Amino acid sequence: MLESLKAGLFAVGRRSLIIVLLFLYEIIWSFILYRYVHSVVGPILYRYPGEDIPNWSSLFWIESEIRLLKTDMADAYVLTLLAMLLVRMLLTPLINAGVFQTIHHSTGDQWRVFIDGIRRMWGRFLSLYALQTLAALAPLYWLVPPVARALRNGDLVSLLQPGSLLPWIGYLLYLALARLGFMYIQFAVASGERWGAALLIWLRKLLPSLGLTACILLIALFLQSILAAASLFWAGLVALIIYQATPLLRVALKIWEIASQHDLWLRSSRWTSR
Amino acid sequence: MKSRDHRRLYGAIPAILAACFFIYIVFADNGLDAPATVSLQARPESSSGSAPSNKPGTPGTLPETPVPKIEPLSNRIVDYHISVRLDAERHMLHGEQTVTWRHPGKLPVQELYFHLYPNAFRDDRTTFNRESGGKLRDDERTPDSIGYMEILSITRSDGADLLDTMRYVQPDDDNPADQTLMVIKLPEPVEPGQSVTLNMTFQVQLPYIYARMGYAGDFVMAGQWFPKLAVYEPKGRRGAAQEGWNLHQYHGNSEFYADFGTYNIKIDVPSSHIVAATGFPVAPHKDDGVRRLYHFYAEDVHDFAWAASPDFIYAEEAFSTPHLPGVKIKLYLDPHQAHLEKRYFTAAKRALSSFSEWYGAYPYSTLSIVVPPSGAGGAGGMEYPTLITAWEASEAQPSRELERVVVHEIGHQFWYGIVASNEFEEAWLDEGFTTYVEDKVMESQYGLTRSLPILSSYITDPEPLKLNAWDYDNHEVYAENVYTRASLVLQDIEQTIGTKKMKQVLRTYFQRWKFRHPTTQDFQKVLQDVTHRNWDSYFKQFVYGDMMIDYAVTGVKSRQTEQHGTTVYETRVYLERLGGVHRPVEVAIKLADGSIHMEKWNGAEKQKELVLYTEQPAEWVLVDPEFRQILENRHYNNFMRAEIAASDEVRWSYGTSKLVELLFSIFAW
Ligand SMILES: [Zn+2]
Repeated sequence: MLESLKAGLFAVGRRSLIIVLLFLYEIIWSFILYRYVHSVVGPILYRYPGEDIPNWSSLFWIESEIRLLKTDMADAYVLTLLAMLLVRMLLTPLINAGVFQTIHHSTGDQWRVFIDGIRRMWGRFLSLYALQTLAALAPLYWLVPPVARALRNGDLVSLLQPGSLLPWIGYLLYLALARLGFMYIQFAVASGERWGAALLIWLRKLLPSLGLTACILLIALFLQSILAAASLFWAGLVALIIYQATPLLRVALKIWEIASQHDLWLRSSRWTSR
Repeated sequence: MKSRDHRRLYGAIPAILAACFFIYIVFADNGLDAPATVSLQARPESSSGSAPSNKPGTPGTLPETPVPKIEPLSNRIVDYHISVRLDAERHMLHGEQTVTWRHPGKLPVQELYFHLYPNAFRDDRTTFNRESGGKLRDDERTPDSIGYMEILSITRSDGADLLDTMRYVQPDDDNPADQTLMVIKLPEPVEPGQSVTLNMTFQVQLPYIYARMGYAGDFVMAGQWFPKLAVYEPKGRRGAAQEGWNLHQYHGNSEFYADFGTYNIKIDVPSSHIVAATGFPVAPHKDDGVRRLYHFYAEDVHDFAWAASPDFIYAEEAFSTPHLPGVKIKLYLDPHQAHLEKRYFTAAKRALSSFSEWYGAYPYSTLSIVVPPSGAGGAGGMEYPTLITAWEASEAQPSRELERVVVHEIGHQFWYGIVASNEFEEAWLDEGFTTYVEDKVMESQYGLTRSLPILSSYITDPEPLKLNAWDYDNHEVYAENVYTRASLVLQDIEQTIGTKKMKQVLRTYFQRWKFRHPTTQDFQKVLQDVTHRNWDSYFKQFVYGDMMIDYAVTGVKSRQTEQHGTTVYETRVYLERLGGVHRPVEVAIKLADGSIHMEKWNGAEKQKELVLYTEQPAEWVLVDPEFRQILENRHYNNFMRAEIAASDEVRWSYGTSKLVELLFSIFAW
């Protein structure tokens, strides 16, 4: 596992062009999102009474909740965010095709390999991504109705009971597992092997595979919390700079994870096929 | 700083954060008869165990002298004699009715109209079920919730058979599947002042209860259970220019309207059953070991309801006060709540004594309280003349909602039962008034007040108060307006004229209009007579119109300037009026040194700019800091800061966009 982790880190170093590209992609999205959120949040801050007049502050919260539950006030905001998500979801399989191709082919011009991956495999990656999205959303069919019911009844307290939170924690775990499973299938697709075999390898190597992801997640959390603390400490311009720079870290960590999982897969498939 | 450009912002993100961090419960249990749409108690009760309130008469109000009932209290247009038999196995009623109608108008009438309310439950195509989606409040219909009424025969007292002349009519929506209103044609017209008597036999299939009437287990709630004459309004009644029938079907959001009269009712049930009913028993019931026969009589009422169950635990108490000559309170308890007897009696006494003192004596000799069993929620919280239902007995230790519903339904006795406005067309005159007086008793007797600013914030879909009940978009909008907004309008009037004057207004309205079916206009007339001022503009905006009050700060700018050689700050405050106008507005401006500067604005212009010169810059502006504008329903735009720290702006925007980004990254690059 440690070797895979190391190999992955090594691979990150050799994919700097792709990482910079993805960083640019993320930073553009971050910027758009930040501007949009700022245009919504800013004016609200002018309206929040604060501790000077506590009865008006609590009325502010109550009224917000009433309007959120009873009117279509939030619809425009939710729809805008969903539209952004949709555009990103349409781009995702293309990026996946390029990224998995570059991970699999460690040699050659990164940019050409990336474009080549998109050109040759976008169709397969699109259908895989559609499947993955479907798998990810399916549990919501059971998870959402109780929440909707509680919202309709205004019974928000019941939503925070352990009994109703537990399924959502399970859901997050399920999402992580599904994502890993599909990652291995995509390794197989990028290398032209059978995806059933890749899934089997993943299942056999489930623990190390989970370990890799957990390791990188911990490192990510650690770095994120340092940055978050820093940005709270130096609010203002510094925070803004940190905010703009975090996507670089995120992209690098993501590529690291994929590359180390790929290394794990490569080792295991070599052992099994020979 | 920024000003006018964010005046239309309705605060989405804080609301989302509100849901995450800060949870207030907004009970959404509004309903046809639920006492409250929102119940957020502002202060804890203080008098839970205190003695019932037979307060001696307050000086200045004369005690009502008990009038011996020689003169009828009402015009007694109708007279019903009904014998009904309950088939408990099949949940059916078999009835024989002799009904006499006295013609109150001036033109000959050849057609008689009857409400056949149980037909609302015939199938899913009825107007009631179409409009309501097959539910009332939270009670939804079940496969067993099929009910109907069949008219088996109709003859005139001279034997003329009228069954063939019977037709169903649908004046409100032309829905051919709706059979809740029928017309029959007489061989010759009834002349003004004359009467006509019909003999009818009918049977009713009771539905499993979800909307006021039906059965649940052995419990039967018989409301709207007999063929009931519609109201023929003579010229001048409720402002009618022409005399004629007031005809409406049974709607998802509507209650009732009927003429006063007398009811002589014999009820035949299995001998295991105990019967609660409107009016009083003429004689003790007879029991032959198999069947039990009850005989009730009621006068000067406009409906008759009864309930039966083998499980009722019966208790009664006589009650009188200087303002209330004497009433027997009859309680039909569910065994699960046997220990709550005292709470029901106390609530009933407190309500009866308060209302009798404030508005006029409760004129009937009985008041029956029926507690439906668990599972019969559809029967709960409903008013009938001299008979009310409490909430279903699903809880062993209910909250103060137990008292609230009893007080509410007793309030109805005065506005629905005695004043008797038309609930089809002006439901607010009943539900709004009842909600208002319910709050008054809960406050004076139980120390419970509801926060008016929160109630007002709850109004997100204001509609005119005088509107046909089925013309509101849905049940929530109906309840929000007819109950909550209407009671807020009355609170607003009270705040304008004072509590004492308001009591006088309601008392005058009650005394002038009891048993006479007033309209919104008649109430306005009383209000004007008592207060000696014109209320046209107010009624036009808030009663006939859908206005609320909405003042907003749209900008605050402070800048340094010179005045007489010293440095001062010029602050400009931009205000807007987005709702109606009722009273002047106070504007609080907080300065950097913590002092508060009060300004006044008449509140009439659409826009207003205040300019003030102070030694300190302004920090924030708050319109109506003392909540004097009762109908203000968008409080968030009453407040605005002159500026916010750039770091705050970044921090919140950063945090929020980060959260969204995290969610996005689960699904996409
Ligand atoms: Zn009511």
